[in-house]
Amino acid sequence: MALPISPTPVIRGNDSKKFNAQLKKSAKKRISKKDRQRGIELVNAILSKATI
Amino acid sequence: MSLQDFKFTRLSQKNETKDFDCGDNDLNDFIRNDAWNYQSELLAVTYLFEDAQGKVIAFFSVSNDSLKDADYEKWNNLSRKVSNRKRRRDYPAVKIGRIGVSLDNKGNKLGSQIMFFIKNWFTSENKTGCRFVLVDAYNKPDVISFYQKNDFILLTEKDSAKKTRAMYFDLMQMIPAGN
Repeated sequence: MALPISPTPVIRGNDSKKFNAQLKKSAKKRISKKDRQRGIELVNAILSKATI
Repeated sequence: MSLQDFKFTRLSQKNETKDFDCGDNDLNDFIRNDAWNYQSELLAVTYLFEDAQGKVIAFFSVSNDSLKDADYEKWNNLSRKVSNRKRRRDYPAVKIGRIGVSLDNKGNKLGSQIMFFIKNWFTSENKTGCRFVLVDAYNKPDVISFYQKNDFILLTEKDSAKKTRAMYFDLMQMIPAGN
């Protein structure tokens, strides 16, 4: 049997500190409007011929 | 080669997955034997990309998860008046349980295209909130490197000797500045 899919563990202490510092950085690291548009077009193209 | 060249479908019992081979025993075992059980028990949903002949060329499985930060208040200067319940933060998230690309299609960057698709899919016309993409990456240098190239970050060092390592991607990055 393959490895189980398990819930992500709770973070605390130094892991929490690093995570919150990283979150502040990533809040400033945003996708460009052009790349976002490319992403939305990819999603729409894939979903347009999907059976889900 | 683009993901758009393939048909996107949700796993059903009609799909033939027994011949899928991505070169990894655990991933092959999952899609061949376990994916349907996870889905029928509402634990994870598997999506397939198929070619014109119905052959599975890639798949990924997703489930609801959350990222729980027990010490959120320590680093965010919350007032002492904020209740203990609010001092902890639970972020809604989607977990990629598995992702695999067939050996025939290795080197076509389909894995990264799937990552880009998932990030955009889970931030467009959402029915529910979802802040992070999470993954338990196999603890192998090439796998960790793949996720890092796709902007995932290791969540902790505590799992550095385990078979898998928790990684996350902040979906806020998919929202352009000013939106």
